[in-house]
Amino acid sequence: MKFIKPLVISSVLFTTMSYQANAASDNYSAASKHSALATTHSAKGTAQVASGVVAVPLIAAGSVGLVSLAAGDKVIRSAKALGKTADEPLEITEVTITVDRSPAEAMKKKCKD
Amino acid sequence: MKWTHILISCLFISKAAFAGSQQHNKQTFPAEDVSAFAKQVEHYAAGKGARAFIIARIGQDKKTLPKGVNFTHSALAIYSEIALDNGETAKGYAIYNLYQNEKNKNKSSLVTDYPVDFFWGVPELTAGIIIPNSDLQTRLIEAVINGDNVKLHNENYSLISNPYTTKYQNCNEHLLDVINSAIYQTTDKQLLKASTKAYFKPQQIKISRAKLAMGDLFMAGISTDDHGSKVYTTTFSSIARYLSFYDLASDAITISYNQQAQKM
Repeated sequence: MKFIKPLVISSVLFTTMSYQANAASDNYSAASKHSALATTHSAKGTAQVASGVVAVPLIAAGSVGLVSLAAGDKVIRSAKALGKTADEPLEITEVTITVDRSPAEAMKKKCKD
Repeated sequence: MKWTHILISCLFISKAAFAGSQQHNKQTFPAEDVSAFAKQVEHYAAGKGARAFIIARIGQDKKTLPKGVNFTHSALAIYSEIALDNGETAKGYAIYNLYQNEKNKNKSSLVTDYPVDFFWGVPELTAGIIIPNSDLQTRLIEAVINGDNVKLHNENYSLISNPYTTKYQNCNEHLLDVINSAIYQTTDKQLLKASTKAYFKPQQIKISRAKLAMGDLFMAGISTDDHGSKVYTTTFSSIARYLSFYDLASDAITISYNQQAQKM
């Protein structure tokens, strides 16, 4: 029975670290989900699911920062101007966008030689 | 007998805690609900005209979180034109995250994903949202366009990283570094840490040193050698307090599925 007490103490300590254990896992990247989303949307006849390939930030016209961007900085090439002033409501697509790709979409990409 | 009962209970609880870390990516809510909630969050931010905002999620049962910790992961969402794999483009938010690596938990990577990815596998469909004021939003977008979020990434991961040092970084500290980089217009890490020390008040995590030492010894992704006698780390709520105190936030709320937003 001598070994039981240290084991209990160790277990209690590990148990109290559950926040770290679970929270750490929370930072994992998301796993495959495209097919689950596609099935749901298809059954409901609602908006489609698509994979995002690249996202280009949109910068509002008339904002303070835009002045420096418009001054020839190379970063303007990586962003697109948003035809609205700050705080105006923005349009959101009804398409569900995910980083995940369906097998069919993945197969469309040509293999490297 | 008493000791044996306690031992068995503790081992069961411990096992559950660790098993949770391995099964986290499993779907917890119907895809339809996750998708609808993700759109609810996007529409809330878009309705406020947010071109950039801070988004947070609860990654585990709230009851298991230490006092003062309300969300487990936060990141920067930026309104974007998104090229889709079907050849079309769509407008919505892309999310810039720091994620702990799955295989090597002492390291992290920067990953861009989308709201439905962000909330996939959460145990509660609740989000935290901080909308910075318009000028800070623009600076945050510039920071991402310039790649400052990449320059400020420290791949050495600790869940309870000390925001006053550069030794380790977690998702919230990376976000704080990007925010301060946008505010101070620099990517000099020493300058940013000096500003953080002067103005940012992190969240104290009240866990005994003995327990932390055990975590440090036996669990990857938790280090304590960047802390003194007390543990302080960056949280979504501490970032909300920081931005609100300096009038840099126009809105700070929590929102749950099919419910109205609640002011923080």
